Amino acid sequence: MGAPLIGSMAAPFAQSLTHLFGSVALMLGLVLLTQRRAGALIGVGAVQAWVAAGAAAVRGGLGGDAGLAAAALITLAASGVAVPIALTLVVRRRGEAPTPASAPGRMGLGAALVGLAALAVPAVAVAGGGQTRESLAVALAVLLLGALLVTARGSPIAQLVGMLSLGNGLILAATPGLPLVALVPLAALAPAGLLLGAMARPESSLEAGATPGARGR
Amino acid sequence: MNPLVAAVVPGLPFAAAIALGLIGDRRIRGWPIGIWVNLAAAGATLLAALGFAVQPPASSSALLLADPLARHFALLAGFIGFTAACAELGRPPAQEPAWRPHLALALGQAFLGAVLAALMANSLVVTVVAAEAASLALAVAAALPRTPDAMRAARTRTATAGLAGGLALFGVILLSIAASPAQGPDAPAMSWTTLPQAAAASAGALLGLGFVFLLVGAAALAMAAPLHLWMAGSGPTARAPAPAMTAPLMMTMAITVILRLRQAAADNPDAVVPGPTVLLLGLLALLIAALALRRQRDAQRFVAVATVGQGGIVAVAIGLGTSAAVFAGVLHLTLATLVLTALLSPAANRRRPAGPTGLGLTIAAGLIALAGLPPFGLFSSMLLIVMAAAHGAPLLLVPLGAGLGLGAWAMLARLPTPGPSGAAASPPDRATPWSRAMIVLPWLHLALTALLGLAMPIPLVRWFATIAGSLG
Repeated sequence: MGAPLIGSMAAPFAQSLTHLFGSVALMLGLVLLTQRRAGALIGVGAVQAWVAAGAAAVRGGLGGDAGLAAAALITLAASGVAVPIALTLVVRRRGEAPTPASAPGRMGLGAALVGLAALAVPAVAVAGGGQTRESLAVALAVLLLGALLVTARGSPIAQLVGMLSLGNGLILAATPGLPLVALVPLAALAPAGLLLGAMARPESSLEAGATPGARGR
Repeated sequence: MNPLVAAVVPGLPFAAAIALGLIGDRRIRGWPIGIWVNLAAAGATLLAALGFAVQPPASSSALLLADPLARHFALLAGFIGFTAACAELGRPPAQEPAWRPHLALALGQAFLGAVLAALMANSLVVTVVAAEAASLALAVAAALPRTPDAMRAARTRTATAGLAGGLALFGVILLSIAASPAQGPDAPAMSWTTLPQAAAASAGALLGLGFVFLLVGAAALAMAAPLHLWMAGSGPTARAPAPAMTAPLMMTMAITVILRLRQAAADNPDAVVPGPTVLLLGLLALLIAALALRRQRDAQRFVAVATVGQGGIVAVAIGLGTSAAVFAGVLHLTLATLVLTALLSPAANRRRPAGPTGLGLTIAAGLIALAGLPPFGLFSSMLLIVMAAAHGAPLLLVPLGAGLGLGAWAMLARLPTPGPSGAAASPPDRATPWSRAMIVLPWLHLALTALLGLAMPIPLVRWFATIAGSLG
């Protein structure tokens, strides 16, 4: 970690900004659960990556952590721009995949996961651009919502966007000083890249049916 | 050994994977070059792992872990990688045009390199990312046949690897946040070597939450119960050599993570007590696997479920937490890995003619070993675990005995038909001199298991005691 890139005067504002970004990311995580059109799913996922990258960049600036800033840049470039564009091209080329029916129960489950995240995270007190209990709870909620999207919807597009959302949760949780933090976004990008590669193959199907429990949803 | 030289151990398989990808399906006088490059790389990796185990670096570095646990399992992984590469010499020619053998070999090497990196990395982040990479290598291997089933299985495994990796990384982040006040701003980056000291003075609740996430992520990567039900399809569709190494090595990797976590969390009085959590998960895995074994008809699925059960037995030993139990757990993990990889070896899974054959005997011996019957070493390790349970928690003997008994009964009562799905209807594979010779490989694994059960040399007893002592 180096010297903070954001001065002490601006630190409270920057801290509030990270909370705002986190809250927006959480809201978008809930919105993702209800999207039926592939284009909307991809778009909302991309915007969530932008705000998560923004939060990580501000936190990296507060803590003077170049690694965290690099992780934010990777998230922005890959999850926020490159993968959504590639996915959109695949969907346009292959045609809109049949989307699973809307499931109101999924939204309830999402809300329950947000509550669980708020209850699970204990109090923390870390200075210097670090996390607070609230920001960690928001990050955990985004991560769990991403996991829900991956497991509850059989569509490969939803799975891919869910994987990216899970990565956004991770980058929201990342704190200055975490060793090799630049590897964190890769944990979600690598499987997302594989899913994208599989979808781009002519013989692959964009229909639902990836997981036994998710068929027909 | 210089730490940079030790980095050759995981580096060699990755280099071999790239080389195999570049070589492709080139042949010299009909012999595929890739198989020999694969064998040479696996042999070199085994030698490097042996050097790392016998003459380790003086101390762990920022990236490389040189403790007895890492050395032991790196050597075991190197050995399994080598025998899996030898078994490729006897593999019959591919029937499916879509199956590209050089890609399967390259993915097998990438898998081995990722497993070794996860076992030897001192950084928690690298361990998790390498474990996820190993799972993704298997996902790609599963997709090689390109059938709809294979693609679905690959997608399931990819999604699970991403989920598990994400949960585990979140755990690492929480551990890092919990440990940061105790470590101070100028302390070296958090690693497996610094975690126990930092954890002792960390915020207990956050440490416990991080432990839970890392535990769940590691268990999910290893397809522990009940996730194995979701993942059951991905193993059998994968092409060799991945299946021969996958489940046992993933289990080994996950359990080393759990062993290290238990040690770190045990020093903090405010953290979630790790022992009972791991013990309960182990019992759950053992009982679920024991019941599920009865329904398995396919050989590879049967072994995959048996792997879950064996992992459960090891988790019970880790959960008990005494030095004797950890000794027995590490011994059991080593022996079970050897037996399971013997059963998954391509040499033991050829489609064979009906009637009694050497292959059938191999499968039978492997199942007897997994059932915990003498003369194989799993008898000794299971006995040690039962004795540790009787000493520390006598009530535990009821579910543990039920799990072990049901598992053994399922092993002995339902000898599965060896070979891939639908093998009974398929013509037997054409036997070649190489394929006949390669039956020696599973027997080498089984002989080692028997040797360690009947008469373990004193230096090896000291070696296992050192590992248990380093974790106690």
